[in-house]
Amino acid sequence: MRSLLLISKSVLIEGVRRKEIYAIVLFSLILIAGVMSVDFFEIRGLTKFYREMALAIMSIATAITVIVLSCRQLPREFEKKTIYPLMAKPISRMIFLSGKLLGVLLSAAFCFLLFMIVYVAGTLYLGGTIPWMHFAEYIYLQMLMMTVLSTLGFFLSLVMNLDAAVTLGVIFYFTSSVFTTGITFIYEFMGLGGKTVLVVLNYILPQLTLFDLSGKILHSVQWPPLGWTTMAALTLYALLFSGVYYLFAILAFRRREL
Amino acid sequence: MSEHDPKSGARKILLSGVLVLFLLSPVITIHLDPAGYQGGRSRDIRDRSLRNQSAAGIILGELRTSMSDLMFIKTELYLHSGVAYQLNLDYDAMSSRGQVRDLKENGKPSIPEPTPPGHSLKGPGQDLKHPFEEEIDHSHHDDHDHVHPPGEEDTHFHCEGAKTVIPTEREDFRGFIGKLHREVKPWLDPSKPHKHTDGTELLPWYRLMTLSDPHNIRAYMIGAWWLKRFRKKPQLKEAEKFLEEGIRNNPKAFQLYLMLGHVNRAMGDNGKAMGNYRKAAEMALEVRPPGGREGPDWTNYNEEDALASLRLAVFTEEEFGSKEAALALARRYLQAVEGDAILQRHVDQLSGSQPQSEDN
Amino acid sequence: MSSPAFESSMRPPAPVYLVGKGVILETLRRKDVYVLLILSLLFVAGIFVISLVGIENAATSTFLLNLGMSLAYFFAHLLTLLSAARQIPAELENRTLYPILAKPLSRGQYYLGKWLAVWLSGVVTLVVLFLLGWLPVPRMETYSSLLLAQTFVLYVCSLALTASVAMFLSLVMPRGSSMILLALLLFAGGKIIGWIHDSSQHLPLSRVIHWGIAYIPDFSLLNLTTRYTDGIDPLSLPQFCGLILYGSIFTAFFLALGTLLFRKRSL
Repeated sequence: MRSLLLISKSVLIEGVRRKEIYAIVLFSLILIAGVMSVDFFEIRGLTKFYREMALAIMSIATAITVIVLSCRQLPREFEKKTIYPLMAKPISRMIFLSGKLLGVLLSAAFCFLLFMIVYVAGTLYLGGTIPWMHFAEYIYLQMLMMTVLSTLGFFLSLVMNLDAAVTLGVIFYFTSSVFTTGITFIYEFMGLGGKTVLVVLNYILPQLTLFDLSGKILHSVQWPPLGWTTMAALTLYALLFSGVYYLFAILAFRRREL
Repeated sequence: MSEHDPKSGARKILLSGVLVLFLLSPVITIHLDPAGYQGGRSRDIRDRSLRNQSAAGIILGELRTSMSDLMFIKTELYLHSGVAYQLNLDYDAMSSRGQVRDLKENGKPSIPEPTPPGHSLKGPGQDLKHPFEEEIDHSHHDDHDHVHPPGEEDTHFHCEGAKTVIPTEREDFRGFIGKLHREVKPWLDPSKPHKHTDGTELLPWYRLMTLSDPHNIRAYMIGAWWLKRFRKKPQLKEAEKFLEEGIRNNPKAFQLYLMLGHVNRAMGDNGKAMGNYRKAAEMALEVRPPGGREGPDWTNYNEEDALASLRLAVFTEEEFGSKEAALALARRYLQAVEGDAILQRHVDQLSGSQPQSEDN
Repeated sequence: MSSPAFESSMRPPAPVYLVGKGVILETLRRKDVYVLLILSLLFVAGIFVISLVGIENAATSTFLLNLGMSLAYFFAHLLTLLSAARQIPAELENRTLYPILAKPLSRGQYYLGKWLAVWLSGVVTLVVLFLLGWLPVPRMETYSSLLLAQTFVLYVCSLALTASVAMFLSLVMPRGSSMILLALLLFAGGKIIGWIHDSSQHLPLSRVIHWGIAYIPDFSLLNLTTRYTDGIDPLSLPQFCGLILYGSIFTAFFLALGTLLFRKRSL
């Protein structure tokens, strides 16, 4: 346990020290400030535009941070040959990978926390209200999504080179909603074979759009928060995919020659 | 390499030359504007409707290269409390009349039907006895046209039958994933009537759209309609400023002068309103095709706006100017647009109340 | 006696060419071409889906054409940016720069070679993705072939500018920051510049501000995708030459600045 925490701490410190999180947060803040400066025609209380843009910017920035961080962990260790002294210690590869995963998630949480403070401050400044229940659910679901992305990133970085892993991870994130809408739409156009493929794809690929509660936050007046059964189902869904990718990553890591 | 090396000297000259060219480059830049053209398929209302209602458009969702397309989608979402319908709103109605209304009731997408030649445009329920108010505020008293004070929830239920992007459980092959999708995203069963909420929150998007594309006339018009609905002086002033900006960027857009006239009227500035209606009318006559024939650059809403400009120029001249001038104007406009019942009736009314002029 | 032909064949290749070749070989060795493969597969998947649902009307085909070309533009520029931004920092970090500069190779030649290779790699990426984004879409409306050629030429200019700015920024700020800044400039710079221009119209020093912001590279000037798909006429010769000149001047400036900084930098 101690080794796991030490490894995760080193990932977190490295991420913070490399200033990349700050760079992403700073640029995101500049964008958000730009959004806030859009003329609201002297009308107070118009917050949907700001909230939607801010949530999108923050989600994208955190997701990209997580994908890049997670994809980079292992290749960097191999490239700098720092993996060898680490593996010489009495740490299993599983503990090592778990420590890395926890570190990436903590970095994501840190990034997200900075953003959420800005989001809340901005909304209150513009005269809006925060639907706290929706908001809490949103943060929780986003962190579940980051868990899926992190484990996917680890796996991809072990089976292909760094740039390809990051590219695939980013494309997967951005095309997720298109994929979800697309398969429902094209299902009717497919023959039996095609339909079977779509059904399989539906279940084997994680639908990241399920972790995006921004639509309901934005229109929270009209929509109640999610029930606990839905939240439990989404948690299980995320943990299942994270577990599968984590397992694949462990297997790939074990097979990798040092 | 020493400083007296001829290569070093040549390098210095080259660097200096590049620096001078760079410093003078704004001379070139200020004359370059490859995107500064009017029209284009990306701005065409009909094309926008078609592409956003297409299967490809629905699959791609909010993945768009055009800000105005994204606005199209956002407007749908905001007015339907986030529920993604398969693009249902009539944008032409929104920009011309400030109406929030759906397209066909059966949910099938449609584009405005062409007006038969020779027919004057008259919406259902348009009251010839009170044409002035009809032209300004609302004229189509159908189920979908309600102007709600901003901030107030729309308590009216509108037609059902519009298809949602996320399918119903019956049509969805995705099992529990489909169920989760319907839970997480705003979703309403299409068999239930959907309601339109207040569109005021869209104003910043329209602001962004005009910043992104200053030649998007519809964005100026729809934004101004939403601002005008506040009926408060600060927002009316903002609407005026907004439209003036639109006119600066689109000096040939007669609809913006028409809209500006409406705003002036709402502010009680009748003199200015009269001037702007007149300007809109004259400009509309310049660009209107013969007979108001519908084409790629002239939809039935353009024709409606043009006729509204002509009528309002006459009405305001009569109300705030002189009856003689109003009659002369009405006759001139009637000659330009044959068969407009409202203008004809107005000419008859004004002629009846006027002594015969020397011209007649 | 040796012949001129023999002597020319024995002449060592230009240093710039050697550096460039090295970058391209490294790109292949790192299997960076996988990224292009993944992107190509993405385009192919899109083509497959569209072929299934069909293209109902000309407006939709124009929309897809615009999307395909825009994505090709976007990815080619993104990859060029990422590749250019890591060239010098990676060499410094791995300390592989020192043995290279110990050879009879000036820093300027080295820098130029890197830029050339990154630019050419970007052009190759652009060609592949452009063909995938442009060819499969049926032409249901009329588009100007001349404007298409102009669009492509300006894409290539834009890639050269992207590479030069990215390499310059990588020398003055951390890699992550330079990538984000250039990405912002590349994909939103035109809108931001337009917004500053409009907002400052009524200010007393508006002319000074307008002149000042003209020094910010505006990549949107070199992107004629929407003009092409909108069915607008080609650019006039003066306009087209003006845009090429604009791209060339800015590229040369950032290259010169980058070379100067790299020369003066202590390693």
